[in-house]
Amino acid sequence: MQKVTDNILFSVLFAMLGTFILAASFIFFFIRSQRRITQQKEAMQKAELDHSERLLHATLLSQEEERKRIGRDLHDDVGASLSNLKMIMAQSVEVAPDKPAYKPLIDNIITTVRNISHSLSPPGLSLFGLESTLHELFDNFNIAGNIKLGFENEMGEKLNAFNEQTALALYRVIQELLTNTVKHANASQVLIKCFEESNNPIITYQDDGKGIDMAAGKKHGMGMQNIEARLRMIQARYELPAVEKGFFIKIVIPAQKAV
Amino acid sequence: MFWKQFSSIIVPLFILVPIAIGMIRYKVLPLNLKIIWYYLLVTAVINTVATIIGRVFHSNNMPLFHLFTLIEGLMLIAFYRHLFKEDKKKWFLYLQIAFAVFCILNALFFQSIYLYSSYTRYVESIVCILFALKYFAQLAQSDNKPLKIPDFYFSTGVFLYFSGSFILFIFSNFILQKLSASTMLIFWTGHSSLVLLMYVLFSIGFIKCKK
Repeated sequence: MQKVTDNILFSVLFAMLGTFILAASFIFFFIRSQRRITQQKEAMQKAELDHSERLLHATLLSQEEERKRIGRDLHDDVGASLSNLKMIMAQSVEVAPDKPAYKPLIDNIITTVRNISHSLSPPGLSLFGLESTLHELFDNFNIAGNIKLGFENEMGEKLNAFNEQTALALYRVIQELLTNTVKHANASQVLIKCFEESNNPIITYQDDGKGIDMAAGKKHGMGMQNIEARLRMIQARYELPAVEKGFFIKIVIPAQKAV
Repeated sequence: MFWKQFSSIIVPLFILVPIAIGMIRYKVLPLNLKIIWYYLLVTAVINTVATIIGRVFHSNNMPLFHLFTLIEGLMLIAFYRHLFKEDKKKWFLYLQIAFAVFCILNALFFQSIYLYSSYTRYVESIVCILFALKYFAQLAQSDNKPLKIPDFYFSTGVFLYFSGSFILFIFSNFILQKLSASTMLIFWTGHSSLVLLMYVLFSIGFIKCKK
């Protein structure tokens, strides 16, 4: 009888142990398979994201190329033709002095074409660097004189050392920020600072306008989306710290971009 | 001696750990985890009363375990009722009523209230194991990482405890009647280890609960 009891005792013990091991193994393999599935899904999502990033970069690059081509054509062909026309008209005015009214009109067209050409593709960027191109941009924005524009460059010549893609992206970002300030902010002052922080070039942009609704989260307009896309293209990041008044953005450019 | 203390003192006292963590996190607990917290509280109270009845008054405390099985079953079904939000909840209610009726009938006609209520424990184990499997099946369909979800720890605790101990529940009356106290200790140490594992998992689950 004792032997039978012992047998039952061991059977029950082993059955208990067996079912527990079975259940524990199930949990172990479940966690492992879930982790593998999640990793696969994350990898797929990352691949999709990378692909869309590459597409976006290609679109932006081709957009810039196209802008450059249109700008060059406008400047070289239309601009040159208008200059020729102006000379011809000047000669014809000497012959027929009663038709000088064409001159200011043609001057105006030449200026407009040059402005469009420059805004499409800033010509000074590769020649004179980012700083002087920004100054030209500020001059154009400041024509009306409604906004007091301040620019402080503590980086010196390093600001002009960015490669063309980085410089163009930063130029476009500042152009977009200025457009936003003029269009929506109702600001009277803008201050742009360029400096270095732990070897990383930093650009800060601040205005004293209405600011943006931080509670709206990522639901920014097209302008902010363009800024995000261009900064991602050069692996730069941005911060939007809360400020008492107006809008403030801090752009952190990776150190390796400052060649 | 240690194993006796492990089963009769350490593990019963360890219940205070998940209760304390649950109390700290009480405000952020969803309803299903609040039910688990109350379940732990009820378990602690019934265990204390059962110990007093058994050790101080040297009386049979099995009627209390019949009551505990009923309450535990109803609360665990309620836990899963609130966990499976998309399901038709009336089935859970029917299941609770059926389980309560079964517990009463078992106590009246099948297993005396002075015997261990093994049939109801056995049924309760199967129900809980099936619910836990249903939860794991649902979780497998989602993109969530199991180790980051508090509910996963509670379901795993319930699943491991009932899977490991339901064979013990089948033979519990045999073990209680036929085996010597020293042999019985082996079983109750195994059972206590499973209970401890469940409490540890519940504690982790409460810790994982954040706003």
